[in-house]
Amino acid sequence: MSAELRELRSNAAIRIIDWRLDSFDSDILLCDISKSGRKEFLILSKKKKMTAIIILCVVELALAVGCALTNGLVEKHETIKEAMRDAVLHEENRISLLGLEVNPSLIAGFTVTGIILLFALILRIFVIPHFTYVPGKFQLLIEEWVGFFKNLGETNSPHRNRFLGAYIFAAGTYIFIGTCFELFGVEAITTNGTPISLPAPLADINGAIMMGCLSYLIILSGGIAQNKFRGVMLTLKEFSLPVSMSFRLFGALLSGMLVTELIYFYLQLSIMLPVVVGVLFTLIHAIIQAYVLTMLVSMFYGEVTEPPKKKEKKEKKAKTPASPNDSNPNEQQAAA
Amino acid sequence: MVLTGLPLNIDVQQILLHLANFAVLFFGLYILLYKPVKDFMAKREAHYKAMDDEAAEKLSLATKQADETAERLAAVDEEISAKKKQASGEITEMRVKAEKEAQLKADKVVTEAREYAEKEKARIINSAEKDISDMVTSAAEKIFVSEDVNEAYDAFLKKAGQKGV
Repeated sequence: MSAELRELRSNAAIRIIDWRLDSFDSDILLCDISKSGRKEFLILSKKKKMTAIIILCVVELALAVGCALTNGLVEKHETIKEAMRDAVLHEENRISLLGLEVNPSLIAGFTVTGIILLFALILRIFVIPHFTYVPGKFQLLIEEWVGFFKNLGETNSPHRNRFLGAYIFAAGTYIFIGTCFELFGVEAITTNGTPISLPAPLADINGAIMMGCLSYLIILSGGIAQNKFRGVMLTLKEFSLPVSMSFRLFGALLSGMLVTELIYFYLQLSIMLPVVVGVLFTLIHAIIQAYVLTMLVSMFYGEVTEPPKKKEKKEKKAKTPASPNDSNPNEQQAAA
Repeated sequence: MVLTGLPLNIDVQQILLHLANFAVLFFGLYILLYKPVKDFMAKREAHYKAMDDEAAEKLSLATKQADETAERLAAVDEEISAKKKQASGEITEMRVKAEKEAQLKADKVVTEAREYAEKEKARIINSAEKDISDMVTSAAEKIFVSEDVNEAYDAFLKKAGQKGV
């Protein structure tokens, strides 16, 4: 709502009867101005919106011209083939961690963990102690964040879900924030001395394998805790689960990263397109992957922790009718 | 390097590092965020449940009291109705009794009046008899004393007419 519209709404002399947007996103108001029943249409904000659109177009044009002019000046230290191959295999661009050469995703993982824990610590110290029974917007957001995973665990695994809720909360948060992390393009220096933008932690095969296998182990531990040997058998039945979960996560996140990498490699494509490809795709990826993994884990966990159903004893049905009313009327007549 | 040479550059050491990282994140998030928020939500749920239970209890108590009051009102109505009936019966009885008493009194008055009248009649007759006897005596005396019986009889009738018997 525009400021102009807000101002009109606060004006006691004008009564707004109807409000809608036209094709130019201008506010069209049907107003009673004189309070004498005379109705008039007021068109607001059209000029302001048109000005904003024109400015945006000029800026985009300027950026495109700038890109075209500076295209030859950019020095690339690797080809697109090498960049893509390295994004998958991490053979070239490695980062030194206390003397160990590790993949950039691991550093991204540590960074994401640090950010999340710092945020959680701030919330724990400054926000959670001031929680009220009638929540505000921010409290509602936090409660919804925790409550979503808690309810997901409770719904899919009704028999045993305390640990599951905490696990899928951590996993979902890690996947979502980790995936969104690549949007910020945090730079790190590789062992080669070249700068690299840190990818999503789970875009690394090692991170994805960790998440997939850990999820499988969590499911297995839930099965053992609830159903002992039967739980083990139920979990082992889904032997392909760790591989499928790991590679689904890896493939999904890697594909997003590769598309982003491809777009950013060519400077001409980096005008406007990253808004859709980079931001929207990454956000959708983050939500979908977080939801898929947590949903799968909670479903399989619920399946293996389900207590065995007792076999119903088959009652032998008596051939003779239970009461004379149940028998065939013809037979009754014959008997009579 | 542990288990190097795996395809896709899978590195067990890095997997373990990822695992350690995630373990730290898991415990940190559990302690700092998940548990406190969950506990708060449970506390609030318990609070509202207690309020709900209390309200339900109060509602049940109020319903019970309303039922009791309705029952009492019904009993009072019944009692009032019974008392009205009783009062009406009593009034009828009193009226009948009063009528009976009045009848008795009237009868008594009539009887007494009759008795009185009888007595008066008797007294008058008695007094008349005495007068008659006196008159007869005096007449007889006069008859015996006077010369003519006819004169005496006339004198008797005259006297009797004067007395108005």
